[in-house]
Amino acid sequence: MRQGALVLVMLLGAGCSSGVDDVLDAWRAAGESPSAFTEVGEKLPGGKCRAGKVSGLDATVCVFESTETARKAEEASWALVGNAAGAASVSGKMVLVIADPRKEDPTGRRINALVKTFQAEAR
Amino acid sequence: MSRMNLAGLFAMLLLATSGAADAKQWKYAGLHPRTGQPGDGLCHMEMVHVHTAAPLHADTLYRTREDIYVFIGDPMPFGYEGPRHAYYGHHPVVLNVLINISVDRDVVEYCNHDGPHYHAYEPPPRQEFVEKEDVNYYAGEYPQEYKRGSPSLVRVNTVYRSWSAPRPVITVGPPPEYRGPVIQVDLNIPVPTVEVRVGRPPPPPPPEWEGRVIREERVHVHHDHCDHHEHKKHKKHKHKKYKGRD
Repeated sequence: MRQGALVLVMLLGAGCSSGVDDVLDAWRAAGESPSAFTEVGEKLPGGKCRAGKVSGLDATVCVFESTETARKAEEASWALVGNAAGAASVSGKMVLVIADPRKEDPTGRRINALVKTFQAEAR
Repeated sequence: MSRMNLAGLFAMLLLATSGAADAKQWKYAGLHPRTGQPGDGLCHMEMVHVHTAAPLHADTLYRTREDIYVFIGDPMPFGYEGPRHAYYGHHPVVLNVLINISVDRDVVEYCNHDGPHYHAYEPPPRQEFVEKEDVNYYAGEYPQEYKRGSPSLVRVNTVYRSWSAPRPVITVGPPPEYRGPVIQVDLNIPVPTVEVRVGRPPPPPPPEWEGRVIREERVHVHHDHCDHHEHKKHKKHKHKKYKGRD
C-alpha cells in the first residue's frame, strides 16, 4: 500500500516537472532536434527555467506555479531575447522565450513553427 | 601602452557596451516586411515578437496597439506567397482578429490602399463586405475616425507606387454598396510610332509587331462627382457579407 502511494507520488511529481520535456518531445515530433535543456534557475521571476538550443536558436522554457505568475513574467521575458530578434509566448503555466542572436532564421519561419508547437503542447 | 591609447580603448569599450545595452526592442505582431525594402522579404512570426530595427514607413504601413506594430499593408511587393485575399479600395481592418488577441471591443483601423490590392488576411468578422468576382469591397459606413485619419494615411499609395507587385485584375466597376474612393483601370494598348527625319535616309522598318496586347493598369482617382454608370450592369455580384460572423 505504502509502495503504491510512493509510486503515485513519484508519477505525479514526474508529471508536474515534465512540462519542459513534453515541449521538447513535441518539437522532436515536429522534426526538430533540440539539444539537452539544462536547468538555468529562475531566469524569469518565479519560474523554474531550462535552456538549450533548437533549430539553431536559443530557447528558454520556464514553468510557473500558476498561469497568473506565468503571465506576470511575460514582460520580463523580453530581456532574455536581448539584442536579437525573438519571441516570447505564455501558454498555461509555461513561458517560452526564443532568441535568434546568430541570425539563423531571418524569415522568422522557424521561430513561428517552434512557438506554435509550444502553444499547442502547453495550453 | 600610452595613456592616450588607453583612454581611446576605454572610450571604445564604453561606446560598444552602451550601444549593446541601448539597442531598443521594437515589438511587432503578425507578418510584416523585414526591413521595409521589398527585396528583403517578410518576417513570418505570427505572435508578438521583437526586432532591434524600427519599422520603415511605420506611419502608413502599420497600426499600433500597446506599442506593438501590426502591418496592415499589401504584402505582395515583399514576395508574399501564402494565401491571399483580393480587396478593392479602403476598408476596415480589425487588429485584434489580425493578431489573434481577445479584447472586449474590436480594435478597428482602416486600410487606405486605393484600388485593387491584396492582403494576407480575409475580410474581418463583424464588418460588412460584399464580394464581387472574388474581390472584397467594404459595404459599410466610413466613420469619423476613418475620415480624420485618411488625409495622412492615404500616403500609403505613394509608398507603394514605387514598388512593383501583382494587383487583382478588376474588369467591372465596384458594387453600389461600396462607398469608398474609386480607381478606374483603363486598357492602354501601346501603339508603335515611326519617327521621320527630313534629309536623312529613311528609317529602318519597325520591328515585327508581335501581335501581343499588353495590358497596363492606369490609375485614375475618381472623386465624388464622378458618375459610375457601370454600377447597373454588374454580371457576377455575389453578396458575401461578413457582418455578424464570429
